Amino acid sequence: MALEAVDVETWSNLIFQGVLLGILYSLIAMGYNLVYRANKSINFAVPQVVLLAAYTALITATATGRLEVALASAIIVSVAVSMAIERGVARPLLGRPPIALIGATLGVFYALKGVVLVVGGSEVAVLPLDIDYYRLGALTVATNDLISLLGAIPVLAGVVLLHRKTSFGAAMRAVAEDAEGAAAYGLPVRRLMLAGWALAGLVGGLGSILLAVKTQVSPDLEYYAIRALAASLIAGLDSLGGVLLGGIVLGLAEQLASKFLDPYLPGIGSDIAFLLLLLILFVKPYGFFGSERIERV
Amino acid sequence: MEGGGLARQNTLYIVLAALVIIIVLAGAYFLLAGRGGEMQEETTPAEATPTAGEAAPKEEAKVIEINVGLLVDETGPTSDVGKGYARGAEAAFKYFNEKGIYTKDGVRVKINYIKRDYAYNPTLAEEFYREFRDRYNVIAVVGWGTADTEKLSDQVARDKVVYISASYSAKLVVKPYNFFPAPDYSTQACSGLQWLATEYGAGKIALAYDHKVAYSRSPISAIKEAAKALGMEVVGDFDLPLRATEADAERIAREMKAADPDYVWCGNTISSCSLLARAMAKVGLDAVLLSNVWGFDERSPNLVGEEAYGMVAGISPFLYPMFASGVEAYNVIYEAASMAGVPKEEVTLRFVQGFLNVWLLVKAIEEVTSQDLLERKGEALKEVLESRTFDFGGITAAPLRFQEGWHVPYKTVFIVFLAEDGSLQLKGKFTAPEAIDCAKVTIEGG
Amino acid sequence: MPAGVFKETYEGDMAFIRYPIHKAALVLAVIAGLSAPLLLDTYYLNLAITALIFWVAVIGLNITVGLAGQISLAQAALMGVGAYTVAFAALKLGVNVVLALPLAGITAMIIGLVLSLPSFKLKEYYLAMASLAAQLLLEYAFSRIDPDQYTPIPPEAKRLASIDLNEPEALYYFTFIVAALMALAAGNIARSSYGRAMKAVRDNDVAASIVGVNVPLTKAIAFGIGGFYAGIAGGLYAIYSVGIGWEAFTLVNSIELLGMVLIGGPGRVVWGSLLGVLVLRTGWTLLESNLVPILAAMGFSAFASAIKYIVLGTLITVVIILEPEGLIAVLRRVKEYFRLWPYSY
Repeated sequence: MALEAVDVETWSNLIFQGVLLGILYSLIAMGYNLVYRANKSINFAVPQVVLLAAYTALITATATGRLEVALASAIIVSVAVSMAIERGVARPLLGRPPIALIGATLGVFYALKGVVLVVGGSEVAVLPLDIDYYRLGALTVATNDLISLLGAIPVLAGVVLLHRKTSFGAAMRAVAEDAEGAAAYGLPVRRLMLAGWALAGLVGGLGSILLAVKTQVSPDLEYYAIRALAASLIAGLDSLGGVLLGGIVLGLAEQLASKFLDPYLPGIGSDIAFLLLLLILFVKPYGFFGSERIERV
Repeated sequence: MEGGGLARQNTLYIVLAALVIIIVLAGAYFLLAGRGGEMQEETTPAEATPTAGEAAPKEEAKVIEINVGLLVDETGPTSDVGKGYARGAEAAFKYFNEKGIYTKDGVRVKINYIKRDYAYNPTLAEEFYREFRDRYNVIAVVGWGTADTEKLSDQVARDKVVYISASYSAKLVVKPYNFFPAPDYSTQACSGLQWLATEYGAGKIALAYDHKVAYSRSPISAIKEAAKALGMEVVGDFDLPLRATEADAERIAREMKAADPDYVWCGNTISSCSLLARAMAKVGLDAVLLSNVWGFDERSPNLVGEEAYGMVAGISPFLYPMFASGVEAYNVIYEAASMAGVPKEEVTLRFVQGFLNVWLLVKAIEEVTSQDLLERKGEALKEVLESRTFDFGGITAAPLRFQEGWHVPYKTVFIVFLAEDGSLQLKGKFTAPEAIDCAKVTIEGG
Repeated sequence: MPAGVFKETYEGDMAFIRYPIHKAALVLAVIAGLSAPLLLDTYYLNLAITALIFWVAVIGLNITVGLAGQISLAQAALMGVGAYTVAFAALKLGVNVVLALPLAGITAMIIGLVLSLPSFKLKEYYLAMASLAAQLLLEYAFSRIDPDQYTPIPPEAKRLASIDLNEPEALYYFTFIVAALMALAAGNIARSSYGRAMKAVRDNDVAASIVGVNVPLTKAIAFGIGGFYAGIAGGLYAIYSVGIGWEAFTLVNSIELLGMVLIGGPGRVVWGSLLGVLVLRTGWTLLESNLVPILAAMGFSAFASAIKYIVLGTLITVVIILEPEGLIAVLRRVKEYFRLWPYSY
């Protein structure tokens, strides 16, 4: 009887935490996908942008002691860097083969890593936040869990709605579908691309600060963002709503793999994302919700 | 490219070509110029004639220059603590050079230190070690991590280079040229267990550490033996990754709760250890979390959060700067810090760790004769380190005494406890149980 | 083809040495290579050895990426496969490292062939991600087989007949010969029918398959060769090292290797790769060891350690944006400028 109770508690919390982390993954993943839709490219520099935003938040939070100032500064930095990458790197490379964009954004990843080291000094710290615990039946929820949950869901929903219901969203979709065609219809393609990157920066910045609230500000945050890339591909690079599922699948898989496989493969939890990714790419080469490309010569 | 593209392109090519040429030329220049760095002996004309009757320590202003490598991690995965360590070590080099280091026969020694950041990559550490050895002929290296120090330990013995590391791995205590001014990780952990037994009595202990990482696994077999000797029961090994997510920490805390331990050992670094402490408070696991020296420091009160106050403690072989009032020897560190421009509040445990490693080297140099230093180099330093007692005036938990073939300088540690009110309290010194030799258990356990 | 150089026969067009500059470069390289131990002291000789080792790895990646257009972010992991093969063969089985070297190449080639499987279905970003996933999974595998984070290579296994490879000069000549052979082979692969098939697949794989190129086979060969080169490079690295640890074969290292290909000259398998290594690795090491202390002395010690990332990252990005064909194309332009002088336009 007592054993039963423990199990319910363990399981419900495990699933809750897995899903919650998954939602945060999908927030970062959405940043990748927005860029892919705008530019048909992956922004490999995202992990460092996430770190940069988190350290900016830490610095402003320590200076002012206010979380909302930290949030604002993190988002500003993330959006600014994201737009700068679009203008400085992605735009000059329009029309070049993907390897050029991959190489160039990896170069930016590398350069920003140095910037993060200068700005953040690889400090480990937490953002100033009073954490209380609430017990809801078998579930234990902390203040930081609630903040990250309530912060992430509206943004994810907001971006999806923006894309589906507004004329701006329709224009973005048109660019994602066929940039040249959209230009022929008189859409300001370049500005829309920039808007896509800015939106990605916004989502990424928010994701980074929610991750920092959930865990810590530390150099390890970049690995969350690298794993989120797996969530993005599981969903399909050009899907938007799908990233929520991709993230949650990833978050749950990590916790379940750690629970069951760890005795045999210590530490597999943090790498299960990539095993999962490889398996899924073999079965569904364009992810679960991604659209397949038809090639012509 | 639009109009005028050709001209612009040409400029770009010229810029690029210039860049390449600069890199190549710079490389060539350093290739030809950078061949110096041999150990030098400079003799300058005597500045002051010693007055008769005065016990003048030096007859002429002779300065020996020696090269020492400083291998640190300021950009890699351990850089959160590596930065403080590097600062402490650099401050020490500058300070002692300024103050003057004199060999036993009164010859002044100037230490040129060569700092390299290896980003916690043992292979890169080896490349920098080769640079230290082949280009600068160092006689000693002040190093950092477990894997790289262990990897280089046989090589430094062949090259007769004294290697003072920030890794206190038990496997290093039998290596002839490896030293550190602290007990090894295993002895430290056993001393920590002794504190738990003294303060709270026997009970159940759960172990959390990264099963993949050499540093985290290092003291585990010794802890198990010591627990047995102290009447404690080990109720489980839990795999807490160094890069644990909060969800990982909570899952592990719940698994631990099922085993109902009174104590928890955390053998990782500060990030995952504080996540574990936070998770323990969250799931309502009422146990004392004891962390390794790298898993707990001045930042812990902030990192673990209020809910975990009163249940977290850390081991340290060195006195935290915050408890230093009245300890005379600490003035040296503060003086050095102010000389290096480091404000007093930034003199942390990590700074002290870096400082002490250099200080140990300086103390060793002060015990050799100039002739030995020039001719027998590392070998002479090793002999001195193994034959003297080194006292740091209360900064280390006990004076240091290395034995040949067994470099455990002492077996005592300080315990620092995070009290209910969020302040750090010094619980005092504790010594590993006599019954077992913890370092030996680790070495024999592999 | 440069102006003023004419090929009158197909043999001339397909020859291994096609232009005078190749002849000059080859002669210079051989002379410089052979005389290096006489001119350089141990430290610089070690730098030369590592440059040669990374040259081999980058040539392999250049065949996969530059020639066949298959994006790979797993080259460092493949180097790791080779390095661990040599290390374990020497440590556990007591095999001589020189004998284990071909084995290292073959093991890495097999893993490389496995990595080519996703490329049959995937392209571009999805392929890049598949290789990134493979890189991280291989890192995980390394951390499992190498729990101490380093595996020592016993010095007594480093022998070639009666030559002691622990001696820097001996090791240098050994590495030089291996690297030269590998480069020679790579130059020939590039002009073989396989090499031309790879270029066709790179430029447009659907079109290539229509003209009868076996696309999956070509991709598999490209990955296999890339893996083989990485394995040999990793094996040489193990011979060079006291011990190897998996931290030397992480994603960041893969990014660096890719950077060397893109900076040096993608598709310019031999000389482009060499240029990439010389700029990104050797040149930087020399610059860094002299630049960082100066920066630190000036009070920029926070910058000093991070500067590597900032400078190299910026360099990679800028070169890719400005010069698609890599720095070797810049050098060619400089050469052409002087060759055609005073009519160099």
